Amino acid sequence: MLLLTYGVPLSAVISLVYMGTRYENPQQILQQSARLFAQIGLVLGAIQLVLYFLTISL
Amino acid sequence: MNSENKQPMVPLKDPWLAAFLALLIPGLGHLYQGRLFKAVLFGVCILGTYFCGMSLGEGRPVYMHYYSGPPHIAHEYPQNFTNTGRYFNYGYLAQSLVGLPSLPAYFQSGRILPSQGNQFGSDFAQGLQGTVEGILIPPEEQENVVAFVGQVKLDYDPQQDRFTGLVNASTANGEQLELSISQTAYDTQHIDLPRMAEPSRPLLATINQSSNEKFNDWVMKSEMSRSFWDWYQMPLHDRQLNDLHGRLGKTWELAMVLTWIAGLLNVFVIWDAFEGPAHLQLIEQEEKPSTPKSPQPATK
Repeated sequence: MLLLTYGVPLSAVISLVYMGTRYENPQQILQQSARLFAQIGLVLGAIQLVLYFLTISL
Repeated sequence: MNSENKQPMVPLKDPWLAAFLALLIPGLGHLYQGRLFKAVLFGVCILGTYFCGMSLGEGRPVYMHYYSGPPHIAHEYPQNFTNTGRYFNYGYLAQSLVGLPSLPAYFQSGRILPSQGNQFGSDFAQGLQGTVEGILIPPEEQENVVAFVGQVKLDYDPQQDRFTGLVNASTANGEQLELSISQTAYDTQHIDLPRMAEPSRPLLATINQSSNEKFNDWVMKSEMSRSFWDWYQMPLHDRQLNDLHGRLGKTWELAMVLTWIAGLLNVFVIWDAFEGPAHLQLIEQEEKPSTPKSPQPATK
């Protein structure tokens, strides 16, 4: 299994635990976690794309 | 502040006790405070990450010390553990924050020392037994090796310095065998120490007698199980670290990172159990009612 795929559940866990300590309301925890999860995914995806294009000719 | 962002009041009870319970097991402090959703959330997320890492690393990413340097022969480990390098694993600082699940590593660091009875042969007197898995190798090359699993029980005679025992084996094609072993302890010296960070210990022996005579004089090359507390979270030796790196590659690194992250996430959880959620204080301050103005003196 591609090791990068472990990043998806790991990002979800980090988002849930971090937002779990920011808010008390379960609904708000889940909403904010989903948002943070998407942000992490976008940032990591962008870095992945940059690295891909930088190394495409290697 | 609109009403959707209103937070419920948090029953922190005794914050110090809650923080201590959260340090013992992630989520336990919140369970004590009656914050069930968070208890389940933190417990599942952190313990799930931790044990996922443990599983990927074959149960060995958590250890408090590691040993470095020669010798690399198993039965010379006792000297090695006292005379050469013993180093602290700094990753354990993060792993220990998961609490009880990482606590065995602390005790195992002591239990591996020869002064605690972990010397070659120290467990021979009580006999060796466990499950065994391996292959039977024929004395001549014309025949094929035979895979087997089974149970082994070895007794040790200190006067003759000899192991004798019986293996109840089941071969890959379903044949049931009784294999008799008699061997000097010297020939069995590769059997390793009683306690090491390996779930099994090697057992190499020549079969004296078998229920199927065909297997007489065959060599049994096998791995005998070690009891869980004799290998789990034990310190690792360079030899074992090299083996894990070589076999697991990046998966070994990932396994360690997952256990570190699990421990570091629990710092947030401990703080939440002690102080409540970060945004709660801001909301409480904003919702605090303004102090009533002092009544104006009545004018005539």
